[in-house]
Amino acid sequence: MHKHLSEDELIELLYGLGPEESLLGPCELCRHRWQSLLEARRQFLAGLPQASEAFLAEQRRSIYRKIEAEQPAGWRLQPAAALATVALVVLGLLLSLPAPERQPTRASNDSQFFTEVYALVESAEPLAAVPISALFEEQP
Amino acid sequence: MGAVAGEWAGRVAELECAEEFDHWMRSEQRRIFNLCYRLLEDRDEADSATQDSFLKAYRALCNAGAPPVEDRAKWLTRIAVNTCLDRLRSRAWKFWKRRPNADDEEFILALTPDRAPSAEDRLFARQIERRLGEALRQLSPRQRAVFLLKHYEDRRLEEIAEILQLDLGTVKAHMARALKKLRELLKDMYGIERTSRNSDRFD
Repeated sequence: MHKHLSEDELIELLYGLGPEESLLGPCELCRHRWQSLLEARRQFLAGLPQASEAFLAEQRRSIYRKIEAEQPAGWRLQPAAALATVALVVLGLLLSLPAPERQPTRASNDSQFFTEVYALVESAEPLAAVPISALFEEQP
Repeated sequence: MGAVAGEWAGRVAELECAEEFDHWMRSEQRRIFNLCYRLLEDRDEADSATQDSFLKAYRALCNAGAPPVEDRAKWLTRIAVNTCLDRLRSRAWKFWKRRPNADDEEFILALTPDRAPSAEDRLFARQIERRLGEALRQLSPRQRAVFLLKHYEDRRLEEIAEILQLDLGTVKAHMARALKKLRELLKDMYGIERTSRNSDRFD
């Protein structure tokens, strides 16, 4: 003779502890009670309170704020970092450009320079007056 | 130049991931918040735990070289449950003494939009939820997690074992103990419910 499932057994079945649904067998009464139990749970879950969309939206904003705060500093300071990098590159290029070649100093130039200086120093007549004096010189 | 291009490519990938993450988060957020709320029984803590869970998920999913996740829902559930269990452990000494927070319940209930179930169904669900919440506080954190994952998310025990990273036998033992305790604690509700509703409700 078929023994009906007790309420406790049905609850265990509902929570996965009993054997599978096949335990219900062909008994119409047990199947009906099982279906009632499932329906009761469905109604219970459907009637549960839920958080509002506004609450969830605010929660999402908080999550994004935390994600943003966790971003590496490099990303947040990127414009400044990029400018600093460009400035360094330009400075580096300028420094690495070959300096204009200096003319080698030659001894002849030095001696010529000093000769001219001595000539000016030794001359009694100021250099600026030379052209004027030339006007009064008699031509041979 | 290669490094900069690589960085930008990484940034673009991250933005794409963030967009996908946003859609996914919207689809899972309510479920995860409800789960955290039922585990923690505190609105602010549940809010914080939900945020932590998604933050951890984001870190894991959108970081360069992150391995793909097969079943994201289950994976996220595991993160959320572990986050809540950590919080429960950290307040274990006061957890047992904690009284139900009426403000929290009212807060959630006030946010409830009108739904399809009748007012009677909602009232009934609310009564059971309240009593169940009180009874759940008598369970250990693991028993509570096992029961909630089955009761509210209707997950198979094998799945619950996977989420909690426990043996199936351990999960069954937790569930059996949880049911036994709840039966004792909610014994009076069986009678009230049957007489008031004339139906075979389980809680």
